[in-house]
Amino acid sequence: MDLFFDAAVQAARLLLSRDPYVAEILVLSLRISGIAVLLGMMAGMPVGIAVALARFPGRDAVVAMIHTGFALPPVVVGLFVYMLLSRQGPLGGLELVFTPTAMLLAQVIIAAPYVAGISLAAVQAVPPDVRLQARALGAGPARALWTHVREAWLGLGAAVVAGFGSIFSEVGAVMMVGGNIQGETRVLTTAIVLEARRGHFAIALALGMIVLAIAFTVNLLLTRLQQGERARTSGAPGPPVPAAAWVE
Amino acid sequence: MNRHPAASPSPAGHRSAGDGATAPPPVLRAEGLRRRYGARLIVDISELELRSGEILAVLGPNGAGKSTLFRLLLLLERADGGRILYHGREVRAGDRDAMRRMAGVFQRPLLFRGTVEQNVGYGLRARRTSRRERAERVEEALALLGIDHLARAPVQTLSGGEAQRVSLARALATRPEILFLDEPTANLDILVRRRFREDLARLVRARTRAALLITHDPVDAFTLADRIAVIHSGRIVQVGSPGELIDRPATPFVEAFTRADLLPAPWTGTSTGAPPTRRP
Repeated sequence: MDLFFDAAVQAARLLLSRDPYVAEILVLSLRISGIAVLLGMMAGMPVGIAVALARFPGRDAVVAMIHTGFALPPVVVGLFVYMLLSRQGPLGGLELVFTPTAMLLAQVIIAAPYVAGISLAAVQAVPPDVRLQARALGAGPARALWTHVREAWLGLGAAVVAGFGSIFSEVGAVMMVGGNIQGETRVLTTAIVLEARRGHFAIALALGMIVLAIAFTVNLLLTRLQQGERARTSGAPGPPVPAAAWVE
Repeated sequence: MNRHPAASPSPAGHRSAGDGATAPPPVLRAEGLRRRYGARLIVDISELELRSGEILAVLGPNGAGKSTLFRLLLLLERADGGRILYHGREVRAGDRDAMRRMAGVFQRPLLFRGTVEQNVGYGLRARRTSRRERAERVEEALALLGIDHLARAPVQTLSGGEAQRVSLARALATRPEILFLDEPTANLDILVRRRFREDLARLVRARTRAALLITHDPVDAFTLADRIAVIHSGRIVQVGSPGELIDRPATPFVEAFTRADLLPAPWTGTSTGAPPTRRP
């Protein structure tokens, strides 16, 4: 147990002293995952909402495809992006391998299906009568639709949080396309792998604690929102999704 | 007091247009209205009229097609056959002009995220009413239902009875010509229900030209309506005043639905000491 205790004490010291190495990795992680989840939201949320509201032939296949995206192993996404950007790949000329941009691209591909799938569930969970009620009060079709989507905003928030969770704690894809270069592409998860392998347990643990703390904070925020907003009369409870599905 | 229809055995509309050759067309009229889901014919109405000044109840058991009829008449859903006339003009589902003159109160209050005030102002925002007028009308609607103190309350903090009042205030704030009510008292407990029913009777008469009430509850129909249309398996089996339905039920089904023990006091005579109207 000494190993754990010593590592924990040193980790706390590192965190409190605002170690520049740790700070640099943290900032890069937040920046890449933050931008990636925003882009993933811009791509995934409209798709999820549209599929939730629309009825068209082949809809089931589209829903299944979105759900398959959930199960996409990040390391496979990494492989795909790596091949795409590698020198022999179709986008090799851009020379993006081992850059933050490559990591961003991989993370967007991982996050978008999450955001789409959970948005879909959230919008679908709103009773269709909400739209009819809006129209029965004189709203036009567009306003009624917007009213329906607005009722799902907690679920849509959960979609973004889950999307963030899916990439922030992910290691396989960023390792493959980023290369874990210090000061350039080293993020929390890849740094944990490296430092643990070097036997620097204290720093690895410190980084791990940061990942956990951020995960906890984001989920706490969402839980607080959900508890305060338990819709009793609107007939639109939040969808039955976890605040965030943290995947490895 | 508020039992307007119950006060007289054959109640007349409070703003009845009068009869004779010069009578204007009904506010709303359905002809040959049909709606199928798959092979099932859910609604099959040969003729139904909503007249100026009246409250018409559509009374029937669950599964009779009432809610589908509600959506068809509110122009929320396309019919498979027949037509709907609004003041003699044929209108289709989605007709913006006609829909702006109607408002619907659903069985579940279906309040939108936000405060009571925002909900009550919803229909006015949809009509792009000026901010000032909106504030005035919201205030007025809240006062009508005695819920002014809830204006700033988030909707998820309301009780079931309060939510139903907000839902009614939200519809009345648009000053609808025709008000549609789908089982407005079904979700309320018995004490709240009686008071809500009284307010409903008073407000609907004072604030709208005509109202259509969908209900499975004979008490709602007999206390609120001037005329009652009994619906069974998607068809209207009899239309008449409450008195006519009791005295001359057209079918055993209507008779079963208007049995003395189901009806409120003035119709059963229990409050006046008189024997039940039909069959002592």
